[in-house]
Amino acid sequence: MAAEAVQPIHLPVVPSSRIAFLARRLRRSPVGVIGVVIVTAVLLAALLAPVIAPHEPVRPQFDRRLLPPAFLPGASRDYLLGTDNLGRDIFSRVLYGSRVSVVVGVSAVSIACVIGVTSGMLAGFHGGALDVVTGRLVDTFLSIPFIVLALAIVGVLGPSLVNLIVVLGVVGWVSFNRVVRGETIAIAAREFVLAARALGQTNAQILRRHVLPNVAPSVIVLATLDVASTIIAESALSFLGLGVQHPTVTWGSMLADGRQYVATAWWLAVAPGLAITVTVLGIIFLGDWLRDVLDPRLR
Amino acid sequence: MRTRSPVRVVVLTIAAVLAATALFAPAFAGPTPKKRLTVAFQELVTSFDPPTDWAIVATWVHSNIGDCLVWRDRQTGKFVPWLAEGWQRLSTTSWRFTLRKGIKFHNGEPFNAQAVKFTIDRIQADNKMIVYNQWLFVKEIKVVDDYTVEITTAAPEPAMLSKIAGTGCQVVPPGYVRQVGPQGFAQKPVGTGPFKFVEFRKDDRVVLEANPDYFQGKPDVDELVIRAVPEPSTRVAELLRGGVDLVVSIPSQDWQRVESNQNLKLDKFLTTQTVLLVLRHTPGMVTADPRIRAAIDYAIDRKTLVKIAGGGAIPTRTRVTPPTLGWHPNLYNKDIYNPDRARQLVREAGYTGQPLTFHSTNVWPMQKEVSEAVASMLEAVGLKVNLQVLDISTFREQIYYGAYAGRGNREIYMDALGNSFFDPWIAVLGFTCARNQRTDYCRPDLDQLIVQAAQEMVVEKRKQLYYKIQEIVVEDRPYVFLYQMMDTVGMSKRLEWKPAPDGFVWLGKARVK
Amino acid sequence: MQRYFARRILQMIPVLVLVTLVIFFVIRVKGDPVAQLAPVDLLTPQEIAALRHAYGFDRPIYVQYVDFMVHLAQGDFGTSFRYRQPALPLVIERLPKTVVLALAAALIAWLMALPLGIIAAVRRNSLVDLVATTASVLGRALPNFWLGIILILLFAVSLGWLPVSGSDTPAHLVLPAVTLGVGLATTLTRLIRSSMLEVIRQDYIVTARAKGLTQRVVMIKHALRNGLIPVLTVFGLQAAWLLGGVVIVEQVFAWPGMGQLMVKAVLTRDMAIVQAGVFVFALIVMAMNLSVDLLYTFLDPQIRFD
Repeated sequence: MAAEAVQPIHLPVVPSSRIAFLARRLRRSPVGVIGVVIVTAVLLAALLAPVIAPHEPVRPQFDRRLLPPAFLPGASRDYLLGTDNLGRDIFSRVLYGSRVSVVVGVSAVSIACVIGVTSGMLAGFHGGALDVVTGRLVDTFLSIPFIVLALAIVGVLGPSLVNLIVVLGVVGWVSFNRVVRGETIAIAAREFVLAARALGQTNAQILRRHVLPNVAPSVIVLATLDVASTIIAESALSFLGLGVQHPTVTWGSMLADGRQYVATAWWLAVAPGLAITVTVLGIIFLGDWLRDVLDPRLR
Repeated sequence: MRTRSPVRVVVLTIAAVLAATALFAPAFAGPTPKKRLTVAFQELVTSFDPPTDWAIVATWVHSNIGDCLVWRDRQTGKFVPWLAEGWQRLSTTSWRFTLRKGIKFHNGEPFNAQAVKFTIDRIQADNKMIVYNQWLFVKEIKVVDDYTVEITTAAPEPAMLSKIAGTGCQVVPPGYVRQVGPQGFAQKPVGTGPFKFVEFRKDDRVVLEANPDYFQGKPDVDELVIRAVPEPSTRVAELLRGGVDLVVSIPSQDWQRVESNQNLKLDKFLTTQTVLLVLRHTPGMVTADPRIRAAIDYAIDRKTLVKIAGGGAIPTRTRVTPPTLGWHPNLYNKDIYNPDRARQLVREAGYTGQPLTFHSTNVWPMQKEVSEAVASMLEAVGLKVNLQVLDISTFREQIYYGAYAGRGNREIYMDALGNSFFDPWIAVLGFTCARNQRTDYCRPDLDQLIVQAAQEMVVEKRKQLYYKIQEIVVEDRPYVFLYQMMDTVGMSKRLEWKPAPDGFVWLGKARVK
Repeated sequence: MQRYFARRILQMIPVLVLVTLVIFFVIRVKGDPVAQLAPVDLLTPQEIAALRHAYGFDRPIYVQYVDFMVHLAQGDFGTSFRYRQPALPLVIERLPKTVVLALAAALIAWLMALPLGIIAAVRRNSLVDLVATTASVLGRALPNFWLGIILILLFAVSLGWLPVSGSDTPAHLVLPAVTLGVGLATTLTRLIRSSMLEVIRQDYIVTARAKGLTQRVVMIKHALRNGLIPVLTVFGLQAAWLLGGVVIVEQVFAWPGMGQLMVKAVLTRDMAIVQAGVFVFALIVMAMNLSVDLLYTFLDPQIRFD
């Protein structure tokens, strides 16, 4: 058994065969299909928003304020999901909102992931001074509450899309670091790593071939969850008045603005809320499936 | 000994519970039930020492604990005797106030001329007091006898009564303040007012109880609980649930929900707050061109803004609103919406498309929506606008640095300015060259008019002067005024109380069924 | 072991210094509290300068920092600009409320996440798994403030079962704790599921099964114990986040805790409170991380610190 574990894990090298492999796996997993479909749809919506959107997302129409969605009585057929408090088409806003939410979510998590995984593996594997320094750096970041840090950074840099990504990315790396470090410590103590070392593999090889594939499942789950948290965090910042600025539309700010209408015009918040839920669900399904596919022990 | 039957245990338990209830019951309902009133505000005071905290809510709380010499009747804009039973102007710069006798502070200390002098001297001795500058108009205060003071002002003061009732005016007991020190007083105040201080839990509640010896008669409310509930929808929910009896500033989308509740009533009223755009005249900025400023004025459809804000507000081109002296009939309740004229002005100005920075925040109801609407109206006439709706502190910093450091805010920002003085002097003070940091607007001839108006003792002449000032300002447009705000109070039907136009919440004469 | 923890505690000192330094400069490089207080429309530059001088904000920023540190070394965080009171007691008097809320939320989260996560892992890709996943995503996709407002409308206003806001009785705790707990439970459920899946496939679990131990014994005795390591790591982080992130829930439910105090302090640039708050917060977080490390050694005897 131990011998089997020592086998380094190689992903199929030729791209075409990799795609074929993924496709084959996909056919066997309905959850994976749902995930892929949702994520593709969201990406398409983001890309094609100007083509699909029936109205301009930022232009107010003051005589058409707070119209209910098209399927409700008293609604206009022109506005599929109704209009908001300034008469802007919610469907178009949700479409355009996907752009920012996707960009913010993916870029912030990518930043966090790269910093967190690299530092976590190194700290967990090498230990010693490196581990102490990253550990204390993590403590420093953790010790400053997210909201305080966000308020401060946005206060200094001013609210903008890039700054938002920086804030969310800089705050997010900590959890990747901690998870990866913890798992690396555990993995480094396993027989197959000891065996690999005995076989004369370098530290870099061990990290890449043995540690990375073994921490990947947790990282993927964390990353998919983190994309969700990031989209939500953007909404929380909007709630505190630190969100992305007009005329940029985000799901988070739509939700934050819509909260005052929960009892009177629920569609203002339900539309972006549903968009977030479905997107996050898609990402998580995709993550689950990828995790199973990439998991060395499931081959 | 008999064995314990289950029945016996149950009976004993019930008896014990009943006994306990009887024991604790008086705490909840005494022989005469206490009339308790719960009010929810967005925030509470940070200090009970009146001159150190001038947040709006704080001034309300202070006024329920302490009294001033003069009372501003907010419905009529008139000044009525309060701790002073009368006053007399001795010259253009000196006044004599006769004090009411027999009034005691909550701790038993007598209210007298020494207390009045102590109160004002204390503010003037400490430049960290946030209202320090506002009280510099008093040059000297002299105790004539126990119940008479003479106040000399630094300049002729037609607005004397307004200023003597300004923030920090609550008379404090000298003995107690000396005994507990400023920190102690800030935590546990003593005044002459309708309610006595009981308890303060920060960011949670202030508990006050009726002052049975109040000189205007014991308040009908026995216990006044003031809670901090920061989230507007939670405040409305508390009101609907019956958890609180009074909530100010109900968001317009919730008016219907409050009105249709059988236990509640909604009171709408015009406030003294005016929503306005501040335009910078600084050379080099787009708004330095009077044609651009005029275009902004013409581009804005004030009636639509009023609708967005929930209706009921009044379009205006001045900040001096009725009943304040000097409100201008040609400027009040006027809208000059004319997008074609605006477009033409933008063209005439040779506008090149350089974006106008427009800062706003989201503190009063619908401010964000109104800001976005204004931005779209300006864009509709060909101006490029870079709107930033910031959190309140970043917003304040932008304005502050724009005013004092040459960075931060640039062309436009939105504000709402009130006038709890009910006197026009404060409404035009910002147009003087010395205090023009937020606009860089400066006209020496206007300065002269403003000083003259501030010192003119003949009411009719003073009114004419303020007319003239407003007529100049409306053409020069350091500010473009939008509308006079409408505000609301939602309250339980068991409460009989009338809200004040400046939103002031004083419950000394509120009645509870 | 003891030496390890002694060293960790010593290492807290540079972290605390770093934290105060970062906070001080990040917040103060932008400005001073006078901007928050001054009625810009009424003051002349001279009056502003006088006000800044009165509070010492006109001194160079590093002088102000050194001044702050000198006082801090004597255990003095300074006086709150807003409350005109020493800052540390102001923070400490709020702490219990926030801790109670955070503990209740954590309890709710674990009670929800543990069974859901294990079931989802054991019966992977079943309907139960799908439902658990969808439910947990919904919990995540609803921002705290939104969930809070919905819960208030439903359970307080419409049904009248619970109070809307405040912190007087245990009943007041229910809605905010659930609001906070649901968001936390989502992440926990996902992590427990993923971690259990990992462990189930490990050799020793297969061995244990082969030895004929029942499913339940295997799951609880072996799988859960090892599966909890990464979960605990994240929970340590989440718990830290909980203490700092209760802000929004505190605001929605008018819960007078530390979060509200901190946000207002940052917004008004009330440095003494921000520093005292972050300092206390940092101590808690570090203590929590230390306990998580301790738990590692308990859960997995292979891990040693020295």
